[in-house]
Amino acid sequence: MIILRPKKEFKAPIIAECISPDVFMGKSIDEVAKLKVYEGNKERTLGELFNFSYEKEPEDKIMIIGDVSKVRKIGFNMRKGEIEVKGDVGMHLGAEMKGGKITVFGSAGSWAGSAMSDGLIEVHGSAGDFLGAPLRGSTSGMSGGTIVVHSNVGDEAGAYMRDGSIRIHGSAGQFLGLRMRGGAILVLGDADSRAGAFMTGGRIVICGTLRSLLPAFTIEGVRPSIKVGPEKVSGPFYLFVGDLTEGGDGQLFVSKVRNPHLSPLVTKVMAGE
Amino acid sequence: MMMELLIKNGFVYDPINGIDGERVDIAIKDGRIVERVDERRAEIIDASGMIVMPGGVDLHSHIVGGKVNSGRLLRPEDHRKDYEVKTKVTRSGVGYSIPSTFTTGYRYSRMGYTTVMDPAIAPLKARHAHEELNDTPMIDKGFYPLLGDWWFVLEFIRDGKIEECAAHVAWLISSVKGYAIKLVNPGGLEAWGFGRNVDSIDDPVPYFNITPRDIIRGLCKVNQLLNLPHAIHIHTNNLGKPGNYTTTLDTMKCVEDLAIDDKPIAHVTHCQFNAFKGVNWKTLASGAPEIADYVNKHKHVTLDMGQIIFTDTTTMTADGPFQYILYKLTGNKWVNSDVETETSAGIVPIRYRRASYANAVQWSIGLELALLIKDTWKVYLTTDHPNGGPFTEYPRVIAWLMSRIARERTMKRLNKRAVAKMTLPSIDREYTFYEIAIATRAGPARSLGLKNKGHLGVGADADVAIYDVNPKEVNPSRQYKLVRRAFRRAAYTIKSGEVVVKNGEIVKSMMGDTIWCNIHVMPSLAEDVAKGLKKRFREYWTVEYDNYPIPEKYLSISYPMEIKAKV
Ligand SMILES: [Zn+2]
Repeated sequence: MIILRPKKEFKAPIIAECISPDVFMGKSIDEVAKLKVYEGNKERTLGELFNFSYEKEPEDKIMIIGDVSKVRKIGFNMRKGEIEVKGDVGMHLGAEMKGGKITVFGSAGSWAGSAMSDGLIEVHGSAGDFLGAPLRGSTSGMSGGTIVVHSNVGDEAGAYMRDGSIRIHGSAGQFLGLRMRGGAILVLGDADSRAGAFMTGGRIVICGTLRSLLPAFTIEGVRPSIKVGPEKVSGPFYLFVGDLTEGGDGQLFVSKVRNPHLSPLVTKVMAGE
Repeated sequence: MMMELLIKNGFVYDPINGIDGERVDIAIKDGRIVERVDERRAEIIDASGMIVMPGGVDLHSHIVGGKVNSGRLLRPEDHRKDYEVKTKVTRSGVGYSIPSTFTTGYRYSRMGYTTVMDPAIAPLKARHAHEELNDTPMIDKGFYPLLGDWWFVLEFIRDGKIEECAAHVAWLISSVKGYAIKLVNPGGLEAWGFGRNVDSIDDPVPYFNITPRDIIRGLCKVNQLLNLPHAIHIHTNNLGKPGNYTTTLDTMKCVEDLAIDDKPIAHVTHCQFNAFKGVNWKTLASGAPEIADYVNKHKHVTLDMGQIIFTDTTTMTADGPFQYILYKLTGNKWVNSDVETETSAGIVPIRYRRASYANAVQWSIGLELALLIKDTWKVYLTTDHPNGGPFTEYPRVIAWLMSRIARERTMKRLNKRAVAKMTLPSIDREYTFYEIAIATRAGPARSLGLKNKGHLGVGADADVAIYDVNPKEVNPSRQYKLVRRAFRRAAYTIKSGEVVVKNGEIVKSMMGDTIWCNIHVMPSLAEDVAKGLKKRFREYWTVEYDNYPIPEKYLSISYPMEIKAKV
């Protein structure tokens, strides 16, 4: 295991996609220290920015201790091994990740797990916007793997998601599951408006309050409980289907008890009005 | 001080002057090809074992203008996957299917191209187009204003006033500093303003009571009256619809009687997209044999391929209704717009897939057109960049044209049902380097009427491409990969007498000319027509008649071709 500690408080953004077990494996500390990163527009070596220490086991693990909230792309394209961060971490954590495990004891920036296809990311604090979502313009979102966030997340979590699962213990921002096509998102807290906008498939489960429901969803019924992966979540839940503007059949489960504001609407539709 | 250059010992392919791979030295002075230079003073380029051709000429490539720029905005993911870092001589840039302006110039130059025409600019967006051309280095360039749905053109044609129409078109082209008359789905774009389209060349245009046939014939006559150097440049009606090859035949036939001498009067562009047989996407088949048969028997039309490449690219045309259909087919993000009284436009990203039956058929159509039309002077190499694929993939098309084996290797990976129905496997023809030189420079230059381009005769512009492939040693049929590699990165590109590319890298950045037609009609006719239109221009357009023209000083390097019209 290689342990990295920032030498200073970073001011400029640092692009460090080399911080990944795939890259570190088989390299000596000296070799790792020579890896190239950018600090702002200046090219640096990892050794100029971090102090290193070494422990024999486990071999394929990287630990970062300290605030790396300015450091982007940690674990980019990672395929195996483990990264553990004790502190806050910057944008693009585990972007395009294909395997392995990342654990953050702190918060993550935007685009954590962006377009990942396998592996596990667990963030014990909050996460920024675009959790699991692809970069702007791309329509290829998360296609596998798991993201768990223990606190709140920003807007557009799970956008363009095709497979895999996201579990949010806190609340979610706007446009949860935007243009989602598959996979599952579970929110134990509340969700802001426009959840499921343009979704055509997949499943969103909101156990708390949904601020408002998009008009392009229709009520399918009430379900006592719902399975998200291996887990059974107790309801009861309203089941809405949409987004009808896209001819979608995405499923949006919303807690019945926590969303009394939806009940008049549901009653009307059920009554065929 | 201009340098003198001497290109020695190369195998020269210069079809306009009938030179077919002979070893001829090319002398250059003051930006022109000359008889001889003083060998002691001139810089010598040793082209031993290499091919020397005139600089490439592309007569249909969407590189600037409103929709190209909207396409850039629509596709950040296209930029992210392809970027260039700045060097001592080049700027940085981004974009695979829609590269930024500077990068566009560099990439053409690296492939040995020196002249490129953008084929579709809404006249109202001409100022924007010129601003982008001013930022597109390395190449001479120009654009064709869209005129097939321009209101006053339609009105003049409706009223049978062809001479007045000609005078108006002359004003328009000279004002926006354009080069040729472009028609896109004539009449259909006007109909699109009302959410409709036309479905044949005889389907009336709403509110104008004329048909696409009237518009095509009318503008063809206008083109002749104005003595324009290029033919009318037509994107046919029904583009991209199964069964549209009959529309293409109708389009070519409808101007047959207007031909004078043997001069081509109509250029049917990106013909692959309008050579579809079949009644729907499942029964799609190639109409290339029928179109090639017609073209082989007639002299008044030329075509370009509009070849597709199996890649992720961006479609963008002025054909609003077609782009809407494409959006419906793909479900992709899209842009669609209507440009006042002039034209429309649409953009939809697309990925052509080998496994797709329709895409595989489309791939074969482009190549069948090029291989079944016997006279290479009638069909030019394009991908309708970026519609069929980015221009950077031309070397791939060159390899397919030159090598049956290259085609067979690609076919092995294509949709089986499509391959089983193709004519292509039965075609043995392979282009020679001489024919490639026609399809990529001599032919388009001649079609454009650019007398100083596309050849290496004395007096021609010193635009030269040198490719590191030895035609005496390399058999393109078998070693097509070597050919492909050589055409991707020119050993040398010489622009206006200066070496701008060496070993595929830009060594000197320079700005080319913006070529446009300054058309002179009889002043009395021009004044009459202008007087009548001025007031109505105010009613119809958001820009005043007097503010419409773009001053010549707006162009970084203006190259007007002075044209005397017949009227
Ligand atoms: Zn085009």
